[in-house]
Amino acid sequence: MADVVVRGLARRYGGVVAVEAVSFTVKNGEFLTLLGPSGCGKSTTLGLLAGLDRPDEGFMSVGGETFFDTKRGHFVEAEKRNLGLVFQSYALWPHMTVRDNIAFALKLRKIDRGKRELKVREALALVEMETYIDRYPNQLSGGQQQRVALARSLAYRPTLLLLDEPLSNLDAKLRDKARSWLRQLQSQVGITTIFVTHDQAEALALSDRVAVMDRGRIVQLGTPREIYDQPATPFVADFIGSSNFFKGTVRAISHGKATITLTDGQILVVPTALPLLPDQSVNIACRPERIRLSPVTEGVGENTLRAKIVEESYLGSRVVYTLQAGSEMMRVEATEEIGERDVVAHLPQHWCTVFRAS
Amino acid sequence: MGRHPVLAQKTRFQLEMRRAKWPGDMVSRDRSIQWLISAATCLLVVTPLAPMLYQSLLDKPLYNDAALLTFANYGRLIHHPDLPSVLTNTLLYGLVSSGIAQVFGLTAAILIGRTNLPWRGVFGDLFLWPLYISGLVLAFGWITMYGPSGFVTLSIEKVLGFRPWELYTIPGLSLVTGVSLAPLTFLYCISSTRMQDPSLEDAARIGGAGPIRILLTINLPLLRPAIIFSTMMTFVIAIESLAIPLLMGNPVGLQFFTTFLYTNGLERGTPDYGLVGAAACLLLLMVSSLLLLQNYLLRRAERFVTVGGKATRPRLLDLGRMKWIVVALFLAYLLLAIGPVAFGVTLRGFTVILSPYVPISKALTLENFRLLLAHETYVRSIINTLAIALIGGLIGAGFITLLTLVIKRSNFGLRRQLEHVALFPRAVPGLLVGIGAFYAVALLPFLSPVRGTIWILIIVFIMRYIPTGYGAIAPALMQIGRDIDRSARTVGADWWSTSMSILAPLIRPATLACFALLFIQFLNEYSSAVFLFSPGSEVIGTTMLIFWAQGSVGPVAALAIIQIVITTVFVLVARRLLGIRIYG
Repeated sequence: MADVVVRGLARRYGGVVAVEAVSFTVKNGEFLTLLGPSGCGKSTTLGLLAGLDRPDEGFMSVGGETFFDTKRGHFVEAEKRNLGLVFQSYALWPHMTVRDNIAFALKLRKIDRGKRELKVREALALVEMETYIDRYPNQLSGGQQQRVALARSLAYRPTLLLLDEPLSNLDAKLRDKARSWLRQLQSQVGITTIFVTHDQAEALALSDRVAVMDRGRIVQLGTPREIYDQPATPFVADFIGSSNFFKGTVRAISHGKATITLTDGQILVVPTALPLLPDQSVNIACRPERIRLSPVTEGVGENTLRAKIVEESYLGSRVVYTLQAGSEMMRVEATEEIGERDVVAHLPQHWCTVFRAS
Repeated sequence: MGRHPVLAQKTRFQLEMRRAKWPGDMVSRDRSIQWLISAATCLLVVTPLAPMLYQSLLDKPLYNDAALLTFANYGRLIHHPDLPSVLTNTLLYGLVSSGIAQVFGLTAAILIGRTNLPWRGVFGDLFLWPLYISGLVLAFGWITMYGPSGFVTLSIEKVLGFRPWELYTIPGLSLVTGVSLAPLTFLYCISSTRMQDPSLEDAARIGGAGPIRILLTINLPLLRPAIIFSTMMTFVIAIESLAIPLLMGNPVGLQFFTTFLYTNGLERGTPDYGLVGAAACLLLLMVSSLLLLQNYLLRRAERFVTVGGKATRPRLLDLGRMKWIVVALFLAYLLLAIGPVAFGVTLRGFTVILSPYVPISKALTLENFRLLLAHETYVRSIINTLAIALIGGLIGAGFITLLTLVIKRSNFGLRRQLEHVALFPRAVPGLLVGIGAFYAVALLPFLSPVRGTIWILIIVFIMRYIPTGYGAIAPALMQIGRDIDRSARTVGADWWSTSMSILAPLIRPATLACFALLFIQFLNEYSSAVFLFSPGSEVIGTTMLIFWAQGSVGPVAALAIIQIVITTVFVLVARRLLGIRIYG
């Protein structure tokens, strides 16, 4: 139905590459997130999908209808794509009431007055804002504006909903609420959705799949679990959550496991699918909350590093330690406090990821 | 699946919509409109310019079929016996006028923007007032008061036994022009003085500098870009002005570029078309190169401007004991600048004769106004002027709004070039627009219906003031976030619907301000009309010029009073009641 197909999307400004070789498909009703730091090209991509900007290269179709195909010189203007786009700024028209904001798209589609009012009310009911129908945007709070903006984008039944960081202007408490509400609404309406954010927690919580972008390219596309647990690059490992990195040299490989010597001589064994060679330089990533600490008195086991606690910050629900292991620093999140300064850090094999050193 | 009942018939609805008629389906309505507006703009700007260039290369008037292409006109211009004196006079006049405007305008901007001068709000308004007055009326005022037989001149002569000054000299003319242009300098500089970062002054104060020293070493250098800009602007306006050189230079044989064009093109029995065309092209070249130079200088100068992001309220410099001396000086200046119009023109309008030898109480009369209302030409020129200001202002504001929407908010491929075309009239002196349009009407048959009507004046006035109107609308449009129109595009509106339903309503205050500006300019415009009006399509400015030359000083003063009153009332109503910000 409304499957979205994007192939070989590229956009350059002058000589600067903003988006390069972006390809993905989104299944009907699926929620895909484009995630990345600012300047990674995610908003540019969204603008290209919406038709607000012309791609230099690439193909896009929604539900079998081609929106652009640079090889054939085909381009459909934004206003003819029937997409919904919710802006970070909401972009409600300040001189129109909530009703007029929503009705504008319906008027353009020549829907008669009675039906129009009905559809405006339906859309507002969907976001629980019916009572605000006669207000002006400046009389609404940020959260309310966001709901109206969403209603405005849903009222004319777009084939695809695009969301450009719609939650980032809300305060933290409200954002959590809006997040679960948005997810619920999306599955209720069943509309195919592409969401853009730099907030990884948002991306993980909302999405069916996440496309992590860096410097104009998609570096990993997968479910939130895949992205978090099996980062494809050091960038993903560090950007999603955070990771400790250890420099090392491959000593041996056998049965898909690499034995790696760290710079201070300690040894880690890590499963990997990479075709590594002995003496190759690598980096090992391990997330702070996956590392377990035990007092040095309890002995040294497999995949452990001797370390010293240099700093401790108490965050209530957990404790964050900064440790020194040889010349490397690492962060560990623990649920319980540990009394001693000399500790053993256990890095479980399957929570470690190896990357070739660049 | 617990789908929302409202959206259950999603597919049917979508099919329905795909069949529905889209506003953009008739092969891009947007593009057609954008091309139409661009074509109209180019036509407006090019129509008066191209015939002028063409005429400068013809040996006979351009409507004469036997005319041949030649460069001889330029040769004749260069060897014209008057040219050396015309050029030196114009240059000198421009330099001195602009210098005087800088001194007065800058001083006022610093005093009002940065010091604790008492009554600075009122002083600022009064200082700006000459901006709303036609150059013609200002010249009348100065002549009535300080001219060879002016009221003040004669009063002093009565006491001293000799004439204290000669107004009809280049310094005299420059003083009048400089004082009339000082408000412009003031406007360009006042925002810069207000925006200056107070911490720079604090640093100087801590270093031990006094207020005057701070002004001279900190404030003034920071104003450099504004000073460059206003110096060039006032220089250009001075050399392209017609009223003051014509009324004060002509009687004593002082020729300037504009009066050279005026006398050779209009006053001589058989106008020398080729010579006037060539001279017009030369003036156009001079003015446009000056503006190019200005752009170049400012591109580099803008980097030196310190505009802090923080909305700090600058501390005002304390004038201390000097305060009341400065107030007295300011009042004296206002008397010099506003007095001629406020007292000279007004008194002359209500008297039979204005002279120190006749007590004013004995000369008071309403005869001038009676004459004015009895004379068909006077009445008609008032009605015409109001009609032009109103109709032209409305059409102009609407058109310039559309033009700005194409330039600033469309994906029209040639919008950058269109902006250059739209701003080009800034480089064309009013007199030249008039001459060019005069040629165009003579040359192009499709323009004959507007010939000699107020419509040709409306067209020409709009062309002249496109940059002014654009300057009022473009900043307002740029303050509206891009998402506002992008969101309209994504919900299905094409560029035209977006412009009409979303952007135009949002910039309505700017469109109103644009209308107000055009209305005031059209009310006072005369230089582009002198070549174009004919019996029946006179405007206040042209009528004043003609009747002044014929010696009907009283009725002309009365007409000037009417023009001033209409302008002032309009400005006050627009500012107070409608809340329109006309300047700044």
